[in-house]
Amino acid sequence: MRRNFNQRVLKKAVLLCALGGLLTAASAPRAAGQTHGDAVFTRDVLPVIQEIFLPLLTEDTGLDASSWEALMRGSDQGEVVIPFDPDRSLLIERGVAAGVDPHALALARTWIERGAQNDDGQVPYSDGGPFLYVCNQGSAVLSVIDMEANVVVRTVDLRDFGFSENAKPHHVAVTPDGAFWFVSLIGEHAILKFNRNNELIGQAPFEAPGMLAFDPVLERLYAGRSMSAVNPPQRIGIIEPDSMAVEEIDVFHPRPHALNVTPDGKHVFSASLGVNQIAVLDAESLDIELVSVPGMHHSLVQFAIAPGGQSMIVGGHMSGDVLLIDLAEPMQPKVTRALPLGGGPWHPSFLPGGDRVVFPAKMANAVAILDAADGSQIATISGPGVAEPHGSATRPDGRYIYVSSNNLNAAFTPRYQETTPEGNETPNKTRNGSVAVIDANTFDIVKVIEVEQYPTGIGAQRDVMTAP
Amino acid sequence: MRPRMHRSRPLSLLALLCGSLPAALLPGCAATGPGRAAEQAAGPLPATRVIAPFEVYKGSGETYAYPFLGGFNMPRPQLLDIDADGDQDLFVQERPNAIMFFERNNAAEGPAWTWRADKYEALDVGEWYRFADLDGDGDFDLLAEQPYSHMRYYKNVGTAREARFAEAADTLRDAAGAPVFSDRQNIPNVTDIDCDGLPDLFIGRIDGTVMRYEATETEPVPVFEVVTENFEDIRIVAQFGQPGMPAPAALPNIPGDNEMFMNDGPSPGGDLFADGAQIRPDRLHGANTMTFADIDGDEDQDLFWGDFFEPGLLYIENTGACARPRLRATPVPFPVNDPLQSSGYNAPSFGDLDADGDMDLLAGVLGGAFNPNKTAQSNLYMYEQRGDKQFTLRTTRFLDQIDVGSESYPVLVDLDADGDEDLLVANKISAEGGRAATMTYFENADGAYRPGEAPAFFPAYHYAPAFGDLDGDGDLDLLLGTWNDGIAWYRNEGAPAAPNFVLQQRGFIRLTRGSHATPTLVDIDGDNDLDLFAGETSGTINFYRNAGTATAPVFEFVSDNYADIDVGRRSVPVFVDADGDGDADLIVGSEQEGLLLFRNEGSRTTPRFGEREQLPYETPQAAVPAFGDPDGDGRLELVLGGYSGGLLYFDGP
Repeated sequence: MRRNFNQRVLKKAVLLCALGGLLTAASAPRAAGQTHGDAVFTRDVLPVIQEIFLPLLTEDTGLDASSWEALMRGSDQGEVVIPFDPDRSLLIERGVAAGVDPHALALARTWIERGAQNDDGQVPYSDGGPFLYVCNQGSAVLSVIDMEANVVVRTVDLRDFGFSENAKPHHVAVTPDGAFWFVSLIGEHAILKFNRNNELIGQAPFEAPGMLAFDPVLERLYAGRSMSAVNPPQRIGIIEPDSMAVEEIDVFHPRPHALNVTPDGKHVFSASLGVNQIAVLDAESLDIELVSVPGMHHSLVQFAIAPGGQSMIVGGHMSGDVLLIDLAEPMQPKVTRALPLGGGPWHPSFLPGGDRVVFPAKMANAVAILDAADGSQIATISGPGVAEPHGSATRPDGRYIYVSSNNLNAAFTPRYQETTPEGNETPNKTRNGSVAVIDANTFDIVKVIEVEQYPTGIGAQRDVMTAP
Repeated sequence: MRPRMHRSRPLSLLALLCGSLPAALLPGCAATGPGRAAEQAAGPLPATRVIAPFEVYKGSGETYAYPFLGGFNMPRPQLLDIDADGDQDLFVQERPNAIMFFERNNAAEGPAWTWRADKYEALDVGEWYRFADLDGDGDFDLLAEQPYSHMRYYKNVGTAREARFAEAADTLRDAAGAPVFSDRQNIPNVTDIDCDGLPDLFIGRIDGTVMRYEATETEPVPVFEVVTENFEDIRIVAQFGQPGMPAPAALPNIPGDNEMFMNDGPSPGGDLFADGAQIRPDRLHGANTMTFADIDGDEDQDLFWGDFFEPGLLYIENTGACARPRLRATPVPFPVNDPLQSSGYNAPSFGDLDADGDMDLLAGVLGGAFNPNKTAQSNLYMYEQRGDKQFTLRTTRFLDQIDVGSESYPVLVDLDADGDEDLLVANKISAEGGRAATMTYFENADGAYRPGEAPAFFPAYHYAPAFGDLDGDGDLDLLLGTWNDGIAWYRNEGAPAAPNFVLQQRGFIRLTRGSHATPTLVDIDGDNDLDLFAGETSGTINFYRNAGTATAPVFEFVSDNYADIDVGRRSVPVFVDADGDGDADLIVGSEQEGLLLFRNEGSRTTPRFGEREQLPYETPQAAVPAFGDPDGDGRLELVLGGYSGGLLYFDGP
């Protein structure tokens, strides 16, 4: 034992000397071509991670840091490195909290800032996907999750694009092939367009934007309204995605929140938070019909439309009811069943087969799986990481369900806590949201991915990716 | 996309009243209908805003005190003595970026408030405003929203008697230098909660908690420091009529119209999560307002909270003392003896409205989750505090005025052929059934306007009537614009003095695209028949030339972008000879651009419209102009409808 200890001490001393030399050189005035990037991952970075940072990740299990590939897969709990974002990489967070050697910290930080490349210059997950985009409304940041690896592989900090810390990304829509994604910023009254590389390529001003829906047939983006005005316009937006030009269409009811478009692109549905009413827009003629919805005050939150377009489902924030709606005549949607689900049904989604619906129940800290035909409850899912669940989405192949959770009441505890100057642990205020990964067959929560503050709407591409 | 060429079916009858008028007076025909008023309509544009130019009667037989105030949909009131004359004046914000000012005058018959301004001191206030003495100099300063969701500070650089405001900070900052943020739908408030002489700022948050700041400096601008993000652990979670919450029947003495707003109670099937899961009743996605007042006279500030998801007004009693506030009591509906019920998102203000020495309640209903359409007309609630400390609802229409709900659409027309102009006002949607628009009719009888029976039309949203003798039989026929059902054609099969409008064809004219068809009839080319113009959602003008005759018109589509006119959104064209040159000038109402004048620089037979000229009116959103001479003084007047459902009146020069 003593010998092992001495060996570890010796190894660490050698490592630190080497590290000191590397970083001294790196921090000294640089000759042409000599940068922090000169550090080679396997030779320079990996040993530091293994020796200095890995022991700090006490709450992670299954983390294999024997290679770049293994490290990038993360632990059973999630990623430890987010390329290009050292400040949100767990490795750096823990290193800062533990007060590790500044040289080691600088080395790791620089490596991550430069994309956490391997020895061949490869950036992790640059060919990854499909991706899930998570709005962190409390952080002005979107988390990008690779749905194959189920780790956060990128972050998009809206402040980097000139938006404020109160930008409040609320909802996201993704083109079916994943080439583009759109996000509504309720604090900036704008809708942004990004490409797959997370480059901002367009934006449109839009007062109090809320839910988004993309129609790949007519190639239009539709936008509803959020609560972020005393009296938001009673209109939805039609946005031409190339120019981001906006046309606004009256839907006649206050606070048009719920919004979706049929898979064939022919009909758009909007519902009000204040009136039991659905507006149906004929996408071609722009004719509109208003249809009353029976029952108590619902405050309809969001629609999900079946993949075949034959039906849709929506939940009432106040009533707790889930309404099954027949779309045989899309301009006259008919409520065929009202189910008292309760628990604050939020953003639903259909599983790819169309026979089942995922319904986050915000006030119940649970997720319901419903039979799309009759609304009967197939499963109720609760557990770690399901804390005020908000958005839902499914991996294109139907293997996993993703549910974002606000966790404003701290029902979910991230695996690491912030520490006060006195050494007391406090709830993490900057990174306390979560995305639960649920097996779509067993309905088990298989992973909880920690994201930033107040995650809300999520969106993923629809099409299964094919090999290039 | 539909074909661009449209032809209506020919009409059969012969005479056309407007076509028989002298050419120089013809433009007025379209604006006012035929008859005496048409001759008097042309002339210099009216300029003076008048609230009560003549008597307008309610159905009850009383007159409106403020008939042409403009309507309220989401009034945000505040009572305060802005001129230090010992009584409380009234400010009301109805539309973004403007606050109305009413000066109080105590007359022998009781207190009254005189309208003084639609946009007080021309102050830009974003979505909300709060007057408070922030610098401790004894007069009221002003906090308002700096779009989006920040705070602007206006310092009162005048005196307590004569306020004068200067913008001192466009973005208020906290002690750390960060902009103070408040979601713009959450209206904050200021009071000295702990009686230490420093103003405290309270911001309600969407999770029902309250954030408290306290000023650390007041000059040159207040600097607020966060005291707590969770003031008194307040968390507004109660919401009556919900699963797990008290049923409506449990509330005491709810006013008679309570059923309009309350839920039916918990869902009959229950809650599938009720067993085995922890239900959190928190309201998220909310919007709120709040105010403070010492309602129980114990010399500390109690809290009153209105919320989007709350049909009532919640009261949290301060059970501490002035220097040691304690607001940890369970929120209860207020007034306790007679709780306010509305469509929700209620904005309270307290003051002595009846000059009896105690505080009464004035609450604006902004409209929340309980069908705001139902409070589009009745949304400024006044509760009187009686001598026994109990409150009684006196009116839901304080500052009573003509208000037809939302998006009023006035027409001045001599509907009974008695030689004066009557007033017909359409709206967007009925506050009662919510299935269609309604018409309200006021008959001009000897210079006063009295409610009468409005003609009935097929159910549609947003009626937009245009009258004219389309079949040449000497009475007024009607084209009726609608929201999404095009323009309908009604023939008057009655007599000039007793019209009977019979539907001939729905969808008589369908716009090439878009909605909100707003027709107007005018002989634009001097060929003695009526041509048709129509505004629409997109803000352009549609033109249909009458290719038929004065007795058998055929409206032939010419353009849906007439004269390249585009007013942004919601165009409403009317024609009036504004410059007295004998031809028809075009004035277009709009959603956000006000009223725009396009002078006819051509002739009566070959119109050519010039560049847009902004008319100097402080207009509501979705402005709908109607020119005429409703007071019969021979000068041109303007009645203006708009988003708030009321009317504005501008008197001729």
